[in-house]
Amino acid sequence: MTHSSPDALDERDLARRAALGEEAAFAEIVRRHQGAVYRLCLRFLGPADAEDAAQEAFVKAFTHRGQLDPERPVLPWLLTVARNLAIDRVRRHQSSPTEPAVEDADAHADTRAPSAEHAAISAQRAARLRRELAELPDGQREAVMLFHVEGLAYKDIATALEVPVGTVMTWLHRARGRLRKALESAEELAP
Amino acid sequence: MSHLTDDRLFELGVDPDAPASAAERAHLEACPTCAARLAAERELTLALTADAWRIEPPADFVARTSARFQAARAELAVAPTAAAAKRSLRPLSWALAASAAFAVAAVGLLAANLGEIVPHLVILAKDVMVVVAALALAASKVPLGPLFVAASAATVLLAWSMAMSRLVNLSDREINQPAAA
Repeated sequence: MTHSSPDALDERDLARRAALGEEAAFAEIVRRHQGAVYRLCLRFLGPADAEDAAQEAFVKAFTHRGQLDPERPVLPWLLTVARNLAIDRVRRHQSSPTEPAVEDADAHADTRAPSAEHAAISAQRAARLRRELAELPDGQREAVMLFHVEGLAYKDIATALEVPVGTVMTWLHRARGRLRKALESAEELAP
Repeated sequence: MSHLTDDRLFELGVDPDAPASAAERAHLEACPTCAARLAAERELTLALTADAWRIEPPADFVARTSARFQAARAELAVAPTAAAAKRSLRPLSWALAASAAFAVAAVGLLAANLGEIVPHLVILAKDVMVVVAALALAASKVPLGPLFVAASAATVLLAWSMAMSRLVNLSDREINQPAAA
């Protein structure tokens, strides 16, 4: 039996093949979506646990691949699995799910070479933004990150977070309002 | 034109390519409040879409996850057999336990006084059969199975109490008979 290269396949074919248990197809899904799943785990758990949790999320998705619907985007489903798993881990460890994890993620981010865009943002304002993001409720923070960082549509964010689309929009508006004010206040404090 | 709404400022702020109408553009040029707000929205979008947020997993992430797939696949090959065995045994043991309990009770009653309680034993035996059937339904995951079990158990309890009450009456008669004689 021969298959075309996974890169040549669109997501629907990939999902269909993965749902049938083809490991190579699932590995390609991991390759495509590893970043989004890893970052979500990072926000909840911090760098120490994020990698293991993200891998576990993929394995869990793999063992439940029968639930994969090739007619729908794969990433929101993966993010739902990862988020539920991360929340379970946070509860098990009885620690705060947001603040330390996001701060750790920031520390991780700071070790990387800044892009031209990032360089344009002052360190003080970026730090203020991170702190404010860490203080947002989970849903609002995830809505913002999935929208802006992962580029998901409202509908897909709603699927990933298991809430109605209207809730996603409300969360985005509220979160952006808080973040905007945080940036403005950082600007006022800046020399 | 009045100020741009929050929703509209949001739309224009999150998407740099979102087209503003001629009226909106004119308003934004004339209204420092709306212009400042839109600038803040766009700045926030820029900050949130910066590469710094796109932290990538370690380079060997895919390889390590694939290795875990293989371990999971090996577990899956074993686990369904054990789970299936457990599923098939559990309902059977329930049904057996219930049947055995009622059989012991029935034999006990029969041994106590066959002639006097035969009508009640017939009722009890019928209800035992109903319970066994209901347990079988519950085991086969028929949606109303548990309801059948509850209803049947209530019926059997009633039959049981009738049979016991009959036995008590018989015992009283045996005690009273010598005195009367």
